Amino acid sequence: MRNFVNKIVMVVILTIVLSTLSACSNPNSQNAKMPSVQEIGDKISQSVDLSEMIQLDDKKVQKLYDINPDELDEYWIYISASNISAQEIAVIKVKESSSIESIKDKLSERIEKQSISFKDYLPEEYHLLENHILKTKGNYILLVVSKDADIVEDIFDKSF
Amino acid sequence: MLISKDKIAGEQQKQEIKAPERNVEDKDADTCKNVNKVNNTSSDESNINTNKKQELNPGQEHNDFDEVFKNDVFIGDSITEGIISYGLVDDSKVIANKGFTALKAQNEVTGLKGSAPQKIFILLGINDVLYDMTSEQFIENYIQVVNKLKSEAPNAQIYIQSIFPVSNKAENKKPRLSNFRIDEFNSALKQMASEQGVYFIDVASLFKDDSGCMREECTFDGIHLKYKYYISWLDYLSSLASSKI
Repeated sequence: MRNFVNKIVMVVILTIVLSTLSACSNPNSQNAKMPSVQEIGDKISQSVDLSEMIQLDDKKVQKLYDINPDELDEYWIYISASNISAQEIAVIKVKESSSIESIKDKLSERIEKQSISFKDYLPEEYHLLENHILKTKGNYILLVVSKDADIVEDIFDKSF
Repeated sequence: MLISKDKIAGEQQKQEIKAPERNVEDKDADTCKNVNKVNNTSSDESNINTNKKQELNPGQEHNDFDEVFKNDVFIGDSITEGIISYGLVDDSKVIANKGFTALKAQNEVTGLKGSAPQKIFILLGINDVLYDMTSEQFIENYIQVVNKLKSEAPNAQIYIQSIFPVSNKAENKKPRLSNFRIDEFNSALKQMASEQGVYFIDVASLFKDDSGCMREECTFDGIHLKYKYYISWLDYLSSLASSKI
């Protein structure tokens, strides 16, 4: 009888341990804090004025960033609706972590291209490009060129 | 849509292509410093849609501009550069940079020999107006661009677009950038196009309010178009392309 009770206790403990470990590795678990990109985007749009910006679709992502949208799990990208402003905000979640560096490189190339375009003509916008934020968190990437870059970065950081 | 057709030197045609005008009944009630009296009052008999209010219907890209302009080239300043900025037409079809004047553009119009474009759309002049160039100097430089294009792409149809107007606010902010000067430059461009045997397109009228200024809703800074009005502009140019003039 005593052995039977011990066995029951062992099974209960094992179940608890396994379920805890499973929760840590499950991407959908609340503990892992894997926010949707839309969720992060919504928070940004509540704090930053996007009225003079336009949201990009698959075709534009491919064309402007040279990124295949199929490689992305989710994205939320806004660029300025006037080409004399360098402002842009991109929150991206890649499907495979192995592609994160290549996607990040594409974003760097975009910044480089924009910098060449703005450098001699609009120094204030060039300054924003020089101070852009490009960072990753797991499978997520953040790119910000904005006077509100700090606010956007803070929202991104606190989302995890 | 066509205005006039005159034979030049037995071969090349000159044409003025005028954007459908908006109602201009209240021309005297202008808020701009100066009103365009040249284009808005034209009564050329071959201008179609004259006095019909032009609806721009900005917004959605219903045309595949890559396909529409696949054989064409755009040349211009920051306004034309926006075509690339918004991914509307492939980068390889656009030669444009912020700050381009007719003089600066001369050196950039290269490499067209291999691509053999069918149509070349040029939009230059706003920076020349801003930098206090005289219209004579501007035209002199512009002719060099046209000549270079003729030599680089002898079979291409060359379309000179009129310089866009600026908003009333932009005029107040940058007095040198007046619609009076822009109209003067556009008249000179129209004359030059006729003499050079190339097309002149009055795209400026698309974006003018009743007083000859850039319509405020089309722009943030009074000079450059908002994204959605690029669609209107390219739709208009594509309508020319499809009319096979």
